[in-house]
Amino acid sequence: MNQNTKDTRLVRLKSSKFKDDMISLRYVFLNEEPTITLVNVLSYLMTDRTRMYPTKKAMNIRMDELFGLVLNARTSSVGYTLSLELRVKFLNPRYAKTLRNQDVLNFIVECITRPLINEETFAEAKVNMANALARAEDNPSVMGFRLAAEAIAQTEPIRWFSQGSKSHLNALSIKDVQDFHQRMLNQKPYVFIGSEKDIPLDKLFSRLGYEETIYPSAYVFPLRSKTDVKVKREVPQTTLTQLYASQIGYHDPDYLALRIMTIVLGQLPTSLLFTEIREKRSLCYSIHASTLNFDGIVILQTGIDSSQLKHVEHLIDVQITRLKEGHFSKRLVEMAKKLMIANMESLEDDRSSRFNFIFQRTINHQEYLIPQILKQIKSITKEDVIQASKKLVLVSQSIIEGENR
Amino acid sequence: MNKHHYPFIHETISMDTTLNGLTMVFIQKKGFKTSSFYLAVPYGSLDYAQDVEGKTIINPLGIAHFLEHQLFENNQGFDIMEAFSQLGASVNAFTSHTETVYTFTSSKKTLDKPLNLLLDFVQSLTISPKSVEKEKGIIIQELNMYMQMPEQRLVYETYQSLYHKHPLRFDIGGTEKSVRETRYDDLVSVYERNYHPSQSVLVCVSPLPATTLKTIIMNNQSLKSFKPFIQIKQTPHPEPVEVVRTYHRFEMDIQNSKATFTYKLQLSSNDAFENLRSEWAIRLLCELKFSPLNPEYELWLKDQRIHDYFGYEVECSKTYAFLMFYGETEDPEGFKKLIENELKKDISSLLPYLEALKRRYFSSMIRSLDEYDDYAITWIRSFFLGLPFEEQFKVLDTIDEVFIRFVQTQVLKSPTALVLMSLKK
Repeated sequence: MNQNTKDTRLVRLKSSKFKDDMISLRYVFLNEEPTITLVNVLSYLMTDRTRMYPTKKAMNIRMDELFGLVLNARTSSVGYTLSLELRVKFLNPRYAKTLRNQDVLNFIVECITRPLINEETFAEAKVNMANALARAEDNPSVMGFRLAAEAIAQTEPIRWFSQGSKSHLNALSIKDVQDFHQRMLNQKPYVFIGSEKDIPLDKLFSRLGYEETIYPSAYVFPLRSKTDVKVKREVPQTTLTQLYASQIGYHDPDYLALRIMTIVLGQLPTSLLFTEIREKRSLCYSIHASTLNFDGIVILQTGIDSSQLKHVEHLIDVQITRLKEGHFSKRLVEMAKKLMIANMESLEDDRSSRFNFIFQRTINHQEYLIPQILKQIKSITKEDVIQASKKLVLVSQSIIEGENR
Repeated sequence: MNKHHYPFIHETISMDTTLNGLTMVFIQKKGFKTSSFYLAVPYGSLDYAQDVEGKTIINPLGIAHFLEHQLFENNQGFDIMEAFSQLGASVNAFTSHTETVYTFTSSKKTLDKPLNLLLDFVQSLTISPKSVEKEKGIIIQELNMYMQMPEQRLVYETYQSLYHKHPLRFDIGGTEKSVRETRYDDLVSVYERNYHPSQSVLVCVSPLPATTLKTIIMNNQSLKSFKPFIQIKQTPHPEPVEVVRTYHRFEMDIQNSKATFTYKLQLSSNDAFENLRSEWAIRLLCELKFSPLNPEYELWLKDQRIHDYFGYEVECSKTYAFLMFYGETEDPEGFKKLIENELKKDISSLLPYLEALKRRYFSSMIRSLDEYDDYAITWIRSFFLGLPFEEQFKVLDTIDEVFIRFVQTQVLKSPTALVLMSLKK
């Protein structure tokens, strides 16, 4: 794969191994409400209908003419930056000889610059987004995290749900969306191209904005007194979610040690939590730890029987103490490093994840040369993991209490 | 080694068989870094009852899934998952209605150790009564996790409404009771009867050449001996044409009510290609009628008769077939009427879009060849059904207007079940 880094907002990865080509454009915003809700509504509208293709049917027919082109929009949080990505995937010329790149570029520009925003499309977007937010509330792992995050966060981005909020959605007007869209168009997006052959982009850039907007991204969540939230649901399982302030930021030298520590704690089938709580005591099916890389947060989550709650809380506490006191094997650290290295290496086979990785590194002003990162991972020691774990502080916990069975 | 080149998808696939009958499939992905291996056994949740040498053996529900969990156990102090992790590989497994698959992924260039490990742990059972007891709590929590997911629960209740006897009506993992009743001896006998190399397939998706991988597998298999395989038949579950419940309502702690409206189809055939053809024809019929290609669709959304959470699932297999519509609604009868009325309408005005739609699905199939899991699982299922892989791509060309009208008629003749999952009062 080749990377063109002359323009920091343009990345091209050339490869002949994939069946399709891909173009992804990303716009950035400050990760706060009501912007988050506005961006989510806009992302729905940009993939729904446009002025040139004013019905869902016309949109579908056009995508079928482009050999089953796939169009997606999604929002994601990168610390204080909110990203709106519009992505098209279309068959490689080997399979679609008459498909012209220029037609694909025209289509994506049409979706970005001329979405159909009228009373009807706006009303539909609001209804569907409200339903999607309601569905998210039915997901215990999403809700567990939301409850814990909302309880502890004040102005930090984890306070907000990346899919928006009901109250801001209700307050939104069509003019808010139209004005926001016009402001967005002034921005120069980050452009990612994955293709076998060069795709000329001159005409694309001449139709997009030029302001190189930048927002802050990674931050370190501050220490606060612990909060506890408990809600009851008539479901067969209890979901326990814990948020730890890691006190380690994305730019800090011990950031990769934190990532390895999280794997040691709860991402391998031999991790401390998995071994002690699932394998030895059969208390759960799923238990895992993960990091919010740009917020300085470590999340622990599991689904258990409500009668075992205190027992599991205690066992989690014991595993954290084991980490801090170094009562785990060097072998586990080596396995964690191997997993992280394998994940980094597999980015070469997954363009979407690779573009995401490059984007996150770019907005945080960091190089994205994978061999250098692999070298850093290999140099991490057990002592580095212990030191990273000593900074962990439990700041919030939520319990969605199910029925005792 | 048999080498097949498929020019229309630019893929070359090699196949061979070991002396003990294990089928090897090599899909070489040049330029890719990752390798994935899938060792599949044709034993799934529907096979809990089997006819062996004229005798019917009925095991606890969910035994295939229980066995999948137990394969990772080793009573000789050897941790299989840890061994894969040490080799920089991630191991996993899943049980479906018709098969169990064990898989690992690695980005290493040398794969002899994890590949041997995969073959060794799946081809030898080293469990103990203690490990069986230990696993019960874990599996029960897994069942609880699925039962609190609204979509999973809704599908479960729908199958309960459709089938009197067919085992599709049970969860793949069984029930809390069946898990508690599962014994060490049950698991050992199921393993011994079904986990035979001559019935299994190993699909290798890797940048490494087939010859390199074949040597590793052949060497591994040459060191092992297996008892002869005794022919097994799936116990038939004679299923009435009618559904169990035409309407069923249940409550759940959710935010929006959801419904399914399902046709219990009589389209099952012993010919796997005919099942695939019927399935695709119904999918094309539904996509023409229940997608934006139909101008009515936009009106349904505008009038809030459907929302973005609306779709359908279709399955046609040897022993069952159904077409299930799902959506969010407070008005299940209105939901049902919308579907019935639309299906009754003549399809002529939508047929001009048929060829473009076929092209869309063909593109989607080509794309799926970059997704290792999709690619391998399609291969495994085709193999177990005795269906040549290329038929998956050719089937769309065999579907014309006449056949679409035929399946439309068949759907409309079928009994239906309406299920409403409503908010807890």
